[in-house]
Amino acid sequence: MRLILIGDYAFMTSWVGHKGASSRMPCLWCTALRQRTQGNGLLVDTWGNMQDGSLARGVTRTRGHFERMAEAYADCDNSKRAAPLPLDENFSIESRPLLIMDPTHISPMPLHLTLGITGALLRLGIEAVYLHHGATRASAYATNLSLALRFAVGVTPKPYFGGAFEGRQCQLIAGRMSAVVELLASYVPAADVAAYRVACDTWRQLLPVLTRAGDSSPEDAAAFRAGTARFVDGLRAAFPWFTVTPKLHTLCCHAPDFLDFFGSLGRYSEQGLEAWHGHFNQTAAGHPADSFLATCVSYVERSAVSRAPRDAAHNRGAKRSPAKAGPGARDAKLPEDERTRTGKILAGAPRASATCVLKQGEDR
Amino acid sequence: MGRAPPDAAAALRVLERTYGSLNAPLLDRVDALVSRHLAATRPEVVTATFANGVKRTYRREIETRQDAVGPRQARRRRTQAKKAVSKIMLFDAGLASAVLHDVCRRARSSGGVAIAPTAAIHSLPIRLQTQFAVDNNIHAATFQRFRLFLGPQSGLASPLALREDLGKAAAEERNRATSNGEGGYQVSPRAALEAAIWDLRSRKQWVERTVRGPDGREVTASRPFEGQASASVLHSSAVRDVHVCFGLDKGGLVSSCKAVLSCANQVNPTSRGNSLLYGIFPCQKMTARRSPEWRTSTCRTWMPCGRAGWMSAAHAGPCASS
Repeated sequence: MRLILIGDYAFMTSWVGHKGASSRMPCLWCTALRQRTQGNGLLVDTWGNMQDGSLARGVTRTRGHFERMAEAYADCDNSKRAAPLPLDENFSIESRPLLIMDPTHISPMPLHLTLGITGALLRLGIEAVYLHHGATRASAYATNLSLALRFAVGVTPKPYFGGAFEGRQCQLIAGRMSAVVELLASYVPAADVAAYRVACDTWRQLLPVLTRAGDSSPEDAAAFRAGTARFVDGLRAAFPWFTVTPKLHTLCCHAPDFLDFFGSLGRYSEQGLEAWHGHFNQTAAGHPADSFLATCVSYVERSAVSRAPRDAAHNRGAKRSPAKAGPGARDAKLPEDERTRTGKILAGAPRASATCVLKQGEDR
Repeated sequence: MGRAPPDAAAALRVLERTYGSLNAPLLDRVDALVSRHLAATRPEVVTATFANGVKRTYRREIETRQDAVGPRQARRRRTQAKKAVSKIMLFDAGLASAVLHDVCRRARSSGGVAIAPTAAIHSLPIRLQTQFAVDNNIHAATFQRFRLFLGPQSGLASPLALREDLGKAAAEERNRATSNGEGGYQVSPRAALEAAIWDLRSRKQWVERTVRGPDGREVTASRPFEGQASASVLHSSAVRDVHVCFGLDKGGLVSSCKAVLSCANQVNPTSRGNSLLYGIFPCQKMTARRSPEWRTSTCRTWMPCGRAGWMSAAHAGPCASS
């Protein structure tokens, strides 16, 4: 049995004791640092730089390191130790891991990658306009972008926290990014538009592989690896201010590895996890209780009952099944078997039992 | 009567004036004429005023000729059905529509076709009815309305039978839930997961999953997965894979964390209906939820290996004993 950890980034980092996306080594799968600063040059040279895109060269985390950190933090977290472990020893694992996971078994959160990168791509256009024309035109572009998404792309506004688009809307946006590119073309130079168009096309090709629940072929996996590298490196080269976020780093450096190993990304998506929130919103009112906790217990119990029952529920009593007797077994349904009513009559048996005949005589 | 005017209203006025003087053969003839008139015009409502001044209204109703029950029971059933249908259509139209839409959507997503039974379904086990009602969030009163509408011979269970069966189902080990004061969770996620796996196998929905080696080839495994007796037994490369996903996420209108288990050895493992809700944990305020300490404590609360031991030793962390 293989356990695969899914969920949003904050909770996945908590499981393994990682400090989170704001730490100095924010990646859950490798040791790449966020970016080169004046004081971390040696560390970046040794452990990798996230801003190098597909060439980040981070050292892959190992299960052994998680075990060592669990031993080191058996009594207290790193911050409470008398001699805290330095960064090049703890790799931003600063509390006791709750699960000793092989990093290859941590899902690269396909849904959150879809949500985050689609939003980042749209935001990049606004940043480009801001860089070339200032805040006023960037604001105008943002307004026009929202109108284009609403009426040209067909995205309906959702009152989601943070304004994120749901996965299906992201698919819609990716499929019709040409409308966004056309809008951007009236604001920024042609070179930027060309780079943006290439990035959008690449993202449109990546998205089906990222969300596909079925198996991807090795050829698809190889194309995905090349595409993600082209996507991130292209954005980094065309837009100098563009920062490789932990999600983009996960997309280009670790999602291809996961796809190679398990053969699918969408199968290990957190879509089902998120769907429980919506179902709970809809049906929690149907579980009245004295407290919210009691409502939760009732909901958990009902959700368990709603799953498929055991085979016993379908069992309507013992049945003769000649097929289960094995090959060559005789099915006793021929007339000479005298097992059916017709067979018995043909064999000369009385049409009714003696008791029945007697009763019929009394009735007359 | 032989020179009756062609206008029906005028004829009726003449009939009202002369009705008291008619003899028996003429009255029979009037009855026959009125019956023919009613059969031809088929009015929805016929109002009759009796000699004592009582006015009675008759409404046309169509009923099946194969009704096996007696007239009083049939009349009572019609009244109940009328009330039930009016309530469903007038007050619960959205609910009925949502339920039917959801059922059809599930049927489509599972590759099947939504079929409404046209005959008695006595063979439908009550447990499946319980599952249907709970899974589609159908209230017992609504279920009863459908039952009254279709008739008792439809095979739909009564509310009492449904309630009893729901109690039995909730008492099964794989369905039991409890609370520790911090959240509601399943008592035995291992039993729930095993039941889900065996159900996939019995429905022939089980899909073998493999992993690929560094060369891109699938790692072959010859022996099927026959269960895992002990958490200390490591996964053998010769045994086929069972991919279990475990996740924790926060959200919802009333903020809460949901811990979910799912088995990836099926066609649509990310569907809500194909995953197991392990537990719900009411969240604190947003400011508190952003702190790593809160997330860590939440994860520790939901440490499944510490409670159930279903996880293999290859994954169970040192906190399992905490």
